[in-house]
Amino acid sequence: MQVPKYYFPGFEQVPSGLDGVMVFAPIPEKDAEEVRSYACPQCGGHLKFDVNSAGMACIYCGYTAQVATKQVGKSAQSFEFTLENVQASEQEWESDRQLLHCDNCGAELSYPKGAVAATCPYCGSNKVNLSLPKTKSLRPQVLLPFVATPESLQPRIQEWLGKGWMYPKTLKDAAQMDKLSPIYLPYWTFSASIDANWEAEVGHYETETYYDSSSKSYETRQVLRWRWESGAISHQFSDITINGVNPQRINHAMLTAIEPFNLSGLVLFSPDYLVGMNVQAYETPLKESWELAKQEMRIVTNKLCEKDTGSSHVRNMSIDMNYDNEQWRYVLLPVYLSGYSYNANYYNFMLNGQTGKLAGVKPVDWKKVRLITWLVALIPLLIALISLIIANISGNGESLFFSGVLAVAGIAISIALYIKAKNAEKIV
Amino acid sequence: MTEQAIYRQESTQSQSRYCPACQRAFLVPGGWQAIPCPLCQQAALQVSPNTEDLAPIELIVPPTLDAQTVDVLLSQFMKGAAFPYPDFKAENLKKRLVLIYWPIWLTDVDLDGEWDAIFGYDYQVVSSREKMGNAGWSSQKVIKTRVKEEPRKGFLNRHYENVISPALHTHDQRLSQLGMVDLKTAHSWQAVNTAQSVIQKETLHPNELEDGVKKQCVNLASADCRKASGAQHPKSYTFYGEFKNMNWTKCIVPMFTTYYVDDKGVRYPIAINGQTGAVYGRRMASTKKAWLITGILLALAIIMMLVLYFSKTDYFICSAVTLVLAFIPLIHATTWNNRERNKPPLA
Repeated sequence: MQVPKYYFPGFEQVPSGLDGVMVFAPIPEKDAEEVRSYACPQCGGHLKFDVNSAGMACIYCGYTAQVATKQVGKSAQSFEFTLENVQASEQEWESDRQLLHCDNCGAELSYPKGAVAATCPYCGSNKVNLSLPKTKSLRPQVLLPFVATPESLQPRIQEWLGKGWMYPKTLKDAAQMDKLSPIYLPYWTFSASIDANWEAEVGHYETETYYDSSSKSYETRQVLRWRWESGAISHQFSDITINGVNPQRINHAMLTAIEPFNLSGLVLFSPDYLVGMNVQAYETPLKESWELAKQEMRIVTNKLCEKDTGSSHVRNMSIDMNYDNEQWRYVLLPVYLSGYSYNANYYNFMLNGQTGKLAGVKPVDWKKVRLITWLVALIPLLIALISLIIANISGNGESLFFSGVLAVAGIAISIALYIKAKNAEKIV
Repeated sequence: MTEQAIYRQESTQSQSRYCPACQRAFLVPGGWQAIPCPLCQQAALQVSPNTEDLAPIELIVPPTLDAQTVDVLLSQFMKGAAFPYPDFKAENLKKRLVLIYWPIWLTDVDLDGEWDAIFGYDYQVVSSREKMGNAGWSSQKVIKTRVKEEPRKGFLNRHYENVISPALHTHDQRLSQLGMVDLKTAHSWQAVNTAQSVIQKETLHPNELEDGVKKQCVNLASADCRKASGAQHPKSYTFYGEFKNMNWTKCIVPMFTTYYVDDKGVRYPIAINGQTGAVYGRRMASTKKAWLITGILLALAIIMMLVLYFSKTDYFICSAVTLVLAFIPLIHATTWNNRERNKPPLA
């Protein structure tokens, strides 16, 4: 029997396992063209996504266009840990380089793996590579658009630079700022429900009556009694976010410091959001990221089980935990990367592209810190020394104890200030 | 000599007879004399005034049980029966064996048309089970199988052969009592195949069965389409098409029947599937026998009671226990018979 391949609307013929039966299955959603170029419909110039107008804009004629998408928030589609997905996420990044073909000038461009959006160095046209990676579920399905604009973030950056006594006073004015580079970074979000059975020795205080031979009377006292107990808990983990960037490429501690992102702002993925932007595809595979998420879940489960005992005294706890309905999503989240030069050194900082939360490195004015820590330590020491001399002369040692306490406190405070300054050198 | 042999005479002309007790109709070899109804055993078959034309027999499934196997099957069936009647003996049952054939319809049909279905496909997900002890956390990979539902459509053009339809109103009960035979052993019927056998007449005719056959064919088509689609689970299936070239074939399948008689002369039929050897029938307990045992035990108990009473021993309680135990055979026989009576009669 001859039947057109697309006889049923929305269905296409697929191989049949039996003679005399023709099978039609729903047509799979077709992949968009591999590389999409963006040209201005008005002047033919290059379009790019403009954070300020939250749409695409032509840098030559000022043409703007809104991105057609839909806000889906936390109800965005999520995926299960099918064998296919897990294996695919491991195999997607086998080659180090990828080729992009520029439709505008015909150039074959070589980009590092994971580069989703790119600009042709020959003609300057912006491109988005939609076919990366091959498994569809491993391409971003949703993203969080930039909300904070670079202009609105400038005062916050200035305030951050000027804040803190241990940093150079001239930092705010003398720092030579780079421009803020918006970048979409890859994140995995994980949800799962767990059922955990626990068993532990739990300590409970009980009132005990005993005979006090010294007072020759019966007294009561609190004693901690241990007994084996067991219980069960259930918990739903929702949207634990794990970044999928190689730690060698981006400082993970800094990235963690600008979290959290409000995922209720997630919108359906549209390549228009990526035009002219820096976009990083995931480098930490699904399986590794899931392990990191599970570590967080274990910590929470452990705490929940301890709480379930109803006592603060718990020992020898064992937990048997089953996961169910594990789901994941691959999302792109907005971050601004930037830095500044100060005294011939370069310092990085980054901002949450949604909330504007900032984290970065600032130089510590060690001269100032040393002076203050020395003063904090020496002044009480000096007071203590004078008190000692006066006590020797007057023979009255009453104030000596307080002077000693003051001296010890001064040394302790000075050490604490030094440690704080050391930490301030890292990420603030 | 079997009862079948006694009835047998030199004639091959079948005669239409019916049972006045159960109203079942049979074709009996013409020379056979007064034969009891092989199914209900309650009355002798009468010559039927109804001379309607029956559909011709086209196929026959021959019996495959030999005499030795039947012996074993009957012995196994009798084993464990409570207080059997004196007549309930293997040799009696074997002597009364009658081979009868009962009819079924086999339909050949072509299905041609569109179909629309939702099938379930198995897929596997990776999950985990974790344990925390003194050595920290340990994780164990767990593979779970889940089912996703997907729509499928298509065309079907297939020929279905030997779709079984009932030819008797009691077809389903008979299948549940004796099971089906292997239709692959069926061959063309010739009069000589059943010259010495009783044939039960059909009570259902093709024009009453068409809807049922279509339903069965759609079920077969659903299974075929699911297989063709590579799916594991059927969820819903609709066939929009024609049922062409429907051809009905009457096939007869073998069973043996026999009976035993109780103390009052009531006959209890027993049937055996002619191929698989499945046996069905009621195994009634003889209440007369149970009463006899109870009576003996009661008498013993009374004698014991008197002896112990006059001997003034402390074992008087033993006779009281015997008195109670004496009723156990009677209770056992009654409950056994109640259970057997609850079994549906031979279909």
